[in-house]
Formats: sequence, C-alpha cells, structure tokens
Amino acid sequence: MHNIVYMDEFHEGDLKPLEGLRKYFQLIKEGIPEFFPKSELNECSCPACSQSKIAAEFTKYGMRYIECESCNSLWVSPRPSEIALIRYFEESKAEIFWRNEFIHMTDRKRKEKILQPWIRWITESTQEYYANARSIADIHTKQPVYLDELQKIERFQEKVLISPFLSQTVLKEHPSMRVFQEPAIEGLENQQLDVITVFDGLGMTADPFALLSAIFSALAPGGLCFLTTTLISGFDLQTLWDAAENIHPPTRLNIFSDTGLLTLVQKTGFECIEFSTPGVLDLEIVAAEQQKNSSNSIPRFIAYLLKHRDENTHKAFQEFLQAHRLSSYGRLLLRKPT
Amino acid sequence: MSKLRCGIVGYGYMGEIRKRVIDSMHELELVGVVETVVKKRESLQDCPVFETFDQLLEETFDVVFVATPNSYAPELCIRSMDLGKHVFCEKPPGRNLQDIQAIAEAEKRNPSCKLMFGFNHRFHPAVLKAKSIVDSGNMGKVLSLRGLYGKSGGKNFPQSWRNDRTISGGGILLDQGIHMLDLFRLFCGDFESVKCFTSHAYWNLEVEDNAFVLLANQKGQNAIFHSSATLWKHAFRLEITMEEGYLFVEGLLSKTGSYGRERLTVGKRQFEDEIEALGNPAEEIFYFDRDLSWELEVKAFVQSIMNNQPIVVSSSTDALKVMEIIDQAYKNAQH
Repeated sequence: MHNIVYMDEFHEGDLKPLEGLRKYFQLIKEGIPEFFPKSELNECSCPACSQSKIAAEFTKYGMRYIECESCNSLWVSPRPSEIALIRYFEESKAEIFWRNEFIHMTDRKRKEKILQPWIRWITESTQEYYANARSIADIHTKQPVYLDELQKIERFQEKVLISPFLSQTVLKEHPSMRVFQEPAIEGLENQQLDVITVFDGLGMTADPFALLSAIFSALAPGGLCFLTTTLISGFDLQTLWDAAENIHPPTRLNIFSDTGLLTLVQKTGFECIEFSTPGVLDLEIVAAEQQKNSSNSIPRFIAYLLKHRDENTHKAFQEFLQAHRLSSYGRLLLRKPT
Repeated sequence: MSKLRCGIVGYGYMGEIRKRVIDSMHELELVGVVETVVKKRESLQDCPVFETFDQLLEETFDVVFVATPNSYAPELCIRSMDLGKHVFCEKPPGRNLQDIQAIAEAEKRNPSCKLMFGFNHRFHPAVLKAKSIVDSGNMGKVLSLRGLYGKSGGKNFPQSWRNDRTISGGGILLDQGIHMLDLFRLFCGDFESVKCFTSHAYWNLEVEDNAFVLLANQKGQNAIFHSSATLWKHAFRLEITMEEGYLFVEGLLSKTGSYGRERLTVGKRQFEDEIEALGNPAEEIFYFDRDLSWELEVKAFVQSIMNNQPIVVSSSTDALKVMEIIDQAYKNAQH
C-alpha cells in the first residue's frame, strides 16, 4: 500500500463560494425534517467496525453524530434508509440547488483542480494495475462535470453510469454512457466491470458495507475501485469537530477514520493498493473558521502557527498532514484479488 | 500441481528471510536448512537441519536457495544445477566475474534448470512504481542516473566476512553497491564505459569502504554512483532524470527502517518563465508502507519453474552484466 503527497494550489472558496455554501446549508437544514422524519430513522452501529460503544457524540441539523470508541469513525445514528436518502438526493431543494447552480459556480476550477487530477489518477493507475481494463462505471456522482471528463477517456470502450439522481439533461449530454437510473446496489447487480469509481458516495450511503460489497461483486477479478471520501481523522475535522462545516448530514452520514476505513475495506475482501489523503485545505479551513467565528477556540498551538508563521510553513504543515495520512480528504485505490 | 521441495544453504540474515518466504508460500515445501554454525542450527526447531550440503543432498528436493558467503556460492550453484536442481542464489553472484561466468556455464549445460539471483531491490515498491512510469513513456527517455547507497558499518564491521577479500571478493561496491548498479541497468540497460575511484577512507579494511563509479553507454546516457560504508546515516537514493521530468527513489523499507520511509518523488519539468519557476516544479510523492519484495521475487522464480518459462528478471545475464561493470570498476580504480 502506498500514499501520495501532492501539494496543489487552490482555496476552499475556489470550489465552494461562501454565499452558495450558506444557501446550500440553509436548504439542508430545511430539508432534513421534511425528508427524514424522526420516526423513520434507524439506529445502527459503527459502519466501519460494527462496534457500538460511544466515545463522543453531538447533534448537527437535528441528527446525532456518534464517534466510535473502537475505530474513532463518526457516523449518524439513527439514520435514514437508503430509499429515503435517494429521494432526498433526487428531490430536495438543497440537492437541486447543488447540482443545478452551486456546482456550476466553480466548474472551471473544479475541473482543473479536482476532476482532471481524478481522471489522471484513474488512467495512470489503470494502466499500471489493470492495463487490459475495458469498462468503467461511475456510481452516484454529484458532479455532472466529472461525466464530461469521464466521457473523454479513450482507453475504456464501455462507460457505465449508475445513479438514480442525475437529471435528464445531464444524461442526454452523455449519450455514449450506458445509464442505470437505479440505486448503486441494484444497478451493480449482474454487472461485470473492470473499473468502478465512487467519488464521495461512501459517505452518503445508509450501508457502506453493502455498497462496497456490491462493488466487489460487480468487479472482474483484478478489477479496480477508485474511491474518495471525507475522513474524520483529518486535521480540520479533528480540530473543529462539531463546528466543522464539512460535517453535515445527510451527505456525510459516514465519516470514517483512517483505521475504520481500512477495517471496512478489509472486511469486503478488497486489497488496498493506495490510501492517500492528498488534501490541501485542512489548515486553511481551520484558519477560515477561526476568523469567521472567533468564539470557536482552537488549540493555542494551531492559533500560534496560523498567526506567527508564513505561507511556506503552513504549506509544509499541510504537506506533513498528507505524508502521514492526516488530511480529511481521503482517496483509495482498491483491487479485487485475482 | 505438487509442491516444489526446497532446501536452503546458509541460515544467516538472508537464509532467515528466505525461510520465512518459503514457509509462507503454498507452492513451496522446505525439506531442510544447511548451516555450519552450531548455535544457528540449534535455533531452528521447525524443520530438518543439516551440517553439510551433502547431507541435504540425501533428501529429495527440486530447488536450492543459496544464501552463503560469496566464496561458497559458485560451487553450490554449479553442483546443484549439475544435479538437476533449480537455483536461487543471493547477490553477489560470487566474488568476481570468473565466478559468475562459471555459474552461467553450468546453467547453459543444464537448460532444464532455472537460475535466478537475489537482486531484490528490483522488487521494492518505489522501484516498481518508478519502472512503471519509465516504461509508460509519459515522461520521455531516461537521460541520466545518480545513485547513493551507503551504510555506516558497526562495531564488528571490520571483522565481517564481507570485508575479507578471500571470501567476499570485494568491498562495499560488490556487497551493497551491486544493487544500485543492477538498478542502473534496469533503467538504462548496459553501460560500456566504466570509470571508478575507490578509497579506504575510514575503516582499516583490505577492501574498499567507498567507491565512486561513473558510467556511460552508447545511447548517450550517463550515470554516477557513490557506494559507501562510511555514511553514518544510512542512505538510499536513486535519481532518474528524464526528458519530461524526474523520479527520485529514496529510502528503503527494511526490517529496522534505518534507510527511511521508502518513497518516490515525481516531478514534471515546467516551461514557465524561468524567473518565476526557479526550477522548482510541483512534485507528487508516493510513500510506500509494505515491502513485498522478498515474496514477489521468489514468486517470480517459482512461476518460471512451474510454467517452464525463462527467468526474465534477475537472470544470469543480469548477474553477468552487473559483475562486468564491477569488474571494470575495480580494474579502473587500480590505475
């Protein structure tokens, strides 16, 4: 297993403009009681290691986040069912705003800084680990621009899209892709695929183990799964904890720790080729949160580092986080054993 | 398919590693270990132990792992192949060019026997990744190589058989530096021109404790290598400069971790304004956590035997070619 360190240069605001983000969060707050009545939520144990002992807990937008005493993953319990979640991602005002307006505010930067590196990661790693791969499927993407990039990759003869919540407009723009407008687990049934990508999908599913198992079954022996997810073991989330804006339901129902995520991966039978945390925004997010809300106390050392050290030191600190898998943006490359 | 029955000759540092790998592979079965040192023999409780190779030969087996000091390796390899055994021999492949030539002759007269050498660094994760990038062609051709491989030596270093010329055949260049020279060949192929300086900088040894090797080939590629037993901080660094960027392999996953975290740095050449870019492009660094090199190389060997395919990595040709470089280096250093 390896991890990569890559210090690209961009800012949180380049990808998530503040005004848009505020509106998105407001819509989430309004949508949660409407889509997820408390009586329909289900209790669950840690989605990574199945343990139930609680180390800490807090409430966000009316939902309870629990920290696992065993693997330190963070999860929402009680939580909505997969059906309720899909309806939310399809119909809620927050998600409609996200895919029709918010995501397009930063298309260019997102494409350059997030999507193209993903494409490079997929093409280079597929070349290295599964050169004969012919098919690729994407699951539950919330980023239509990603499909534009995916469509351009020439090395895959067959491109599949599995998502119940993409608009007809988006689907029409990608005619070369075989589309299954179904939840991932159903859409993966009876498939035989070489490569599957799940960008941020693991955080928002009611049952991550079931999703990973379905991916495992759908892959050919030696097949690859490219996965990104938010990690609670990352610096900004550990520092800001319940004040972190990136912790919010229902997009982030499962926020794994590095240990928890590896436990989950091992349970499904995958071999982990790469586990990296190539995030570049951890320190910047903490700094921004401190500026925005000075009543949020952050550790004195971090405050000192932010105030009394220059950009180069901040960059070196972020690089340290990456090198030791301590950023909150995680990416994994998994392989189904032959 | 039935298991390949194996024997190990020599139960030092490498013999122990080979035993661990053999024990872990379902394709292999260990029939016994030959070791001359009583204490080491006594430490082995879970398999038959022999004092001599002849005693091992009374058993029925297919494969010999030769993990002895250099002077014993040629005879063991040759005898084993003449008896129809497949041979996996640790590096270096003998003390000098004549030793490997004799081994290669034995291989020729026993075409059914597979012969592989323990150029283990080829299977290290950072090297494999670097090789994959080079082979992809995305970064153009290799222009040059620069290597540093060194250790500090400990209190008993001068007494080690590795520094007794009659047993080892050479100093740090042959013992440890051979790995780097083998990697130079992996990335650039053969080098026809070899220059070398050796020194006895610190340790009072009959063999060199430092070697500085300069190489060139007909493709116009140059390489420079410093092999040292006086690096008080253990170091492994291979720099591969290419047309479109560079790769640095640094650190090695090892039992003690003393060579540092194994990593590969990938930098792409930038065509920015020179005043602004200052030759400092953004880099991607791969850190590696698991060393499967021992398993991978034995697996490659076993697959060659089971599928009756030629040895393509760490073959006798690789061994012969790298020993030719070392032979030329030592000869050049004497002038």
